[in-house]
Amino acid sequence: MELNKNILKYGSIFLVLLILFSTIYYSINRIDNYVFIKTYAEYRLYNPSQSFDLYLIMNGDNLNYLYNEFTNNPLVEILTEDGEKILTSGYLTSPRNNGRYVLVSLEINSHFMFAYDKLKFNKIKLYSNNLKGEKTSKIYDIGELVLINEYDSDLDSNINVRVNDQYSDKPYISIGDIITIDSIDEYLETDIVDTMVDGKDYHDLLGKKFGYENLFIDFKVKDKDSLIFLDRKINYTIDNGIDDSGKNSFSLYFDRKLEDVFSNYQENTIKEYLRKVGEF
Amino acid sequence: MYKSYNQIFIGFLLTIFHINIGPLQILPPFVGLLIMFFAIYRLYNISQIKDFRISYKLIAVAILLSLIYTIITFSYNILGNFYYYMASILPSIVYLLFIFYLINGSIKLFDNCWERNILLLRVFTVFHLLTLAISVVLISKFAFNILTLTSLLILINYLIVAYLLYFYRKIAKMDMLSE
Repeated sequence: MELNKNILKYGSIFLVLLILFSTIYYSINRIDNYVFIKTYAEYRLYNPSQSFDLYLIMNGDNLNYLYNEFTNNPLVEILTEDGEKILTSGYLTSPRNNGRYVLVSLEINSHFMFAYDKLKFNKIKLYSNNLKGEKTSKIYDIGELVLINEYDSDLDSNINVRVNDQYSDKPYISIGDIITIDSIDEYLETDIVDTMVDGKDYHDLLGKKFGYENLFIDFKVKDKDSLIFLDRKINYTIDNGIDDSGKNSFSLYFDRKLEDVFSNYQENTIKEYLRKVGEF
Repeated sequence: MYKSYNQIFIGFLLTIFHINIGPLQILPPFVGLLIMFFAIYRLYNISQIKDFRISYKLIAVAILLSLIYTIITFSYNILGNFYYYMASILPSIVYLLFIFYLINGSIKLFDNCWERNILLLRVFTVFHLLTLAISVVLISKFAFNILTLTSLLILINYLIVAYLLYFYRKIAKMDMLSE
């Protein structure tokens, strides 16, 4: 019986220490999250038709622990470090099953961004003013977003992807770029896009559709060999759940080889990847 | 004594099974805990074993926490994911403690009539601590959906406690009949 009590005593002490350590670790670690967001944002930079519009899609699900979930549809303001406001062209939030909102996409008009010094918008803080209907007027800091001006970036890591949607009047739909984040988005309301390359299934490519206009594809690359075909034409079939004949087909054309981006690619681990992109 | 153990057993079963309609719990855990509280309180008055006193005091804390968490869950997650999950570890620690003292008190009450009692309590304690430690680590890694991995340990724990409580209930019944 004494042994049992000792196990309970020392076990409980260990547990309390573990909880304290985890909480402190989490609280400190949050500060570094901007690297994560930066990486995420950077690989979702989209430059259609060489215009100056930067289209940024953030997967609210992957960032949901960085961001607060909002009781109301949030009002998003983007502020530079100097406190200057950058105008957004628009943003999209997604209501969840639990009635809360998560920021899904954010469109930043680079016409406004280029008006500022590049150093200023290398760090952008996102604030959500969650005011309406709330008793308190708390301003939630929903994260720090670090963008690299693609014209000043040595990384040259932006990949332009153009999509021809043969069933749509629109010339293209926006597509997110490479992401190797290994996450399970099982509760995200998305359609999974089957990936076929020359009639062959590639299960390590997954596409996700956010509404009709926003399709982006997560490239979960298992090994370097699977990158080889990415410079070729890839047919995607989006299953709308109607029937086989009702499927929409999209053809993707990559402007440049993804292999170039991953030339130093070694391991498909998010940590390695973050480190690589984080050094700029 | 039989009546107390019977109530403890029923109370324990009620804390395990949750029936929810949306966010609303039809049978919140504190109902089971409340039944256990009165049963253990009665057991302490009969036996005057110190462990039972600790146990029912801990149950009072567990009831309070259970009430708070029922309200929090009902009014959505206001603490943010990480802190909410981390805070939800707290009732599990209280749960471990009051079960431990309940079983330990029962071992004393029945004069360690079955040697495996102590061993089973040890297994329960170790498994429970292990489950909580894994949960804390997983929560820190934001891998909430992998928490189901710990459910096997929790299941074993439930079975051990249910078995022990059923066993004491049986012994108490035999005592009652022999008297």
